[in-house]
Amino acid sequence: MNRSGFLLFEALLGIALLTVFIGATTMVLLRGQESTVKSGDYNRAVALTEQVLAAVRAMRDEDFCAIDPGTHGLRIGSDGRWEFDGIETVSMDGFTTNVFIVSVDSETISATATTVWQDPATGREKSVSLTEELSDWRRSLAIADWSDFYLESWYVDDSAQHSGGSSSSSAGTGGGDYPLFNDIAIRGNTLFAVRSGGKGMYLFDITDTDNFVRIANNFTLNGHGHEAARRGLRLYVVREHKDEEVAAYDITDPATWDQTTNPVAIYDLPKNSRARSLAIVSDTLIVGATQDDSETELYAFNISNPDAITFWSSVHSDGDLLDIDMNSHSILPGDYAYIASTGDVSELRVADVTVGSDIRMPAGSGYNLVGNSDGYAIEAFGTSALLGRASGAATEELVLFDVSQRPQPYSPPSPLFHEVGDNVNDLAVSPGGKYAFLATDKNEKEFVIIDIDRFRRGQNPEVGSFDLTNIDDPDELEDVFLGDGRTVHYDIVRDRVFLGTDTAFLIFAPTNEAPRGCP
Amino acid sequence: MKRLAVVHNTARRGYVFLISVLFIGVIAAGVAAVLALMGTSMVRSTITVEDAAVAIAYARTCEERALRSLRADLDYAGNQTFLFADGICRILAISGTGNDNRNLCIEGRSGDAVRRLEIAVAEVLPAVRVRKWREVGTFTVCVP
Repeated sequence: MNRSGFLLFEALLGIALLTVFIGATTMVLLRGQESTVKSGDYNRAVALTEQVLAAVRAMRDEDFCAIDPGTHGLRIGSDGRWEFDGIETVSMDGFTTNVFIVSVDSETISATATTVWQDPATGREKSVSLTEELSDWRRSLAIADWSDFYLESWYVDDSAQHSGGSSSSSAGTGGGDYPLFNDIAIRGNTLFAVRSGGKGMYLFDITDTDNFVRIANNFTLNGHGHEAARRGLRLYVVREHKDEEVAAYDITDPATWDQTTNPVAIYDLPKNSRARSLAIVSDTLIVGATQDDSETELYAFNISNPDAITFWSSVHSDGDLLDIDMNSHSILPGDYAYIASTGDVSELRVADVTVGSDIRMPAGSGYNLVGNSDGYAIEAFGTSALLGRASGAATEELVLFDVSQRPQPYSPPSPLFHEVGDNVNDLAVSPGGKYAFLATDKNEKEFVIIDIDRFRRGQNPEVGSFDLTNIDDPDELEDVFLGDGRTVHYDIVRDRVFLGTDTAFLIFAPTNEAPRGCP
Repeated sequence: MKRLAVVHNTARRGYVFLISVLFIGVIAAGVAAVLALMGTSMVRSTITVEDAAVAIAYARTCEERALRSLRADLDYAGNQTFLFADGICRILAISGTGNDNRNLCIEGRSGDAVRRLEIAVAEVLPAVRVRKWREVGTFTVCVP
């Protein structure tokens, strides 16, 4: 048998198969390498694009106002900081990068970083883009020097034209037809001033603080209003009402409110007209009430549903709870309610309201001050709490507590005291704790400004005051009865103080306003 | 007999060559398969890298919006979701109250990529003071 031809066949077959295998492997190898190169290029482009956005963030951190709209390249300057350079940057390996800046508003920009390169295999242009918004949130909202201020504008109720008469403290309602403003809340350009008697609440458009106007004149709260607090599009009010002491109003468009406007949610505390104060933390509404032998005084409600006020828990407390402010503690994480109380053994009470369904106020959690002068007003801020009290023999009406170590103040260090001279009916503190603004019954000093740093140093903390009883300028307020300071609110956005009195609503402004925003 | 032996040996070498080629082919196919899979993986990782970059850009955008909203209104509660062309970002409920000790949790998503930021703010006004800023895999200070 002759098999030599068969050998040739096998050899040829083998060579052919080898060629196919090698060819296929080579193709796959080349394609794989191509994919690897493409992926590498893509990843590099993404990294360069991210670097551009990081550079713009760094520039924003330095000075937001220095970021100009337009298309820019970037480089590191001689001082080691990122800076704009031309309209694009080309890397040594052929990647072209730029950033396109658009101004969204006075405090926000949109930055789109793009990297472009050429695919070496196909010659086509490829690109990667990333967009980020950056805002000027790092800028400090400067607070002016409030030792020099003036009365910017005012609203005087018609009842004030009947001069004479007397006002009452914030614990009562007194006052004939006087509005007797009790509390202030703000949403956007609308200010809600809760008052005793009459319509229960006045609304003001404060778009222009030197020419503000009353709006929704026909709205009625259907009861004396005590306090108000806002959460989102809901205004929560405590009022004197037989069945609806706690009420929530939809403030989407308060300018349209009239006598038919009703709350979207209500709650009736046990017994009648006991609610006096309120504060909000996250989804929890905290309400303080007058003391009762059989009912609790501090209540927590679930307001996660803006159209419902759902009872969660309550605790007993001594005295009437006239004012509440919330504070979160950094060392002992949690939410705490600081309460101004008429209780003789605890003018300041502190409640743990971290868990709304289980609020706690252990016996003795607070501070017992010398004398029995009631606590009227409270502000908690950072590591401090400021209490305003009723006037009393041998008692100072303003007390500053240190709560840096734990939520409940304790001695040492002892609280710091300042003699105001009469009831401190309400107080407000500027964010950061620079100034406290007091509404008082003190004759010739119904509005007082306190420098808290001076207070802490043991110096006389009063840096300014305003006399509501002897106004020579402006002429329109001469001989007009304004009464006493009843409620006060500081708005850092506008750097304005709003003061409610027996008959009027006043806006104060610093004489030299601090510069804000980009020049 | 001798001729038959020569033919037999020659035929055997042919078989050996063929089988060798087949072995080489199998090995080459294996190598090719690995290279193909590696190429596919590279493409997938590139997509993931890009999605991750987009997700963090969205998360940072939400961070900016949250801080700005909080500065404008201390009652700002968070709980917002923003839609973008290639994904979303979410601001979870902001914990704490008032001007001090607020915690923000932000999440950005694009494709399968999720990037999460936790920001502890010591003070909001007059200037935002951030105590801690970190990227996390799972939120620890907020309830998602």
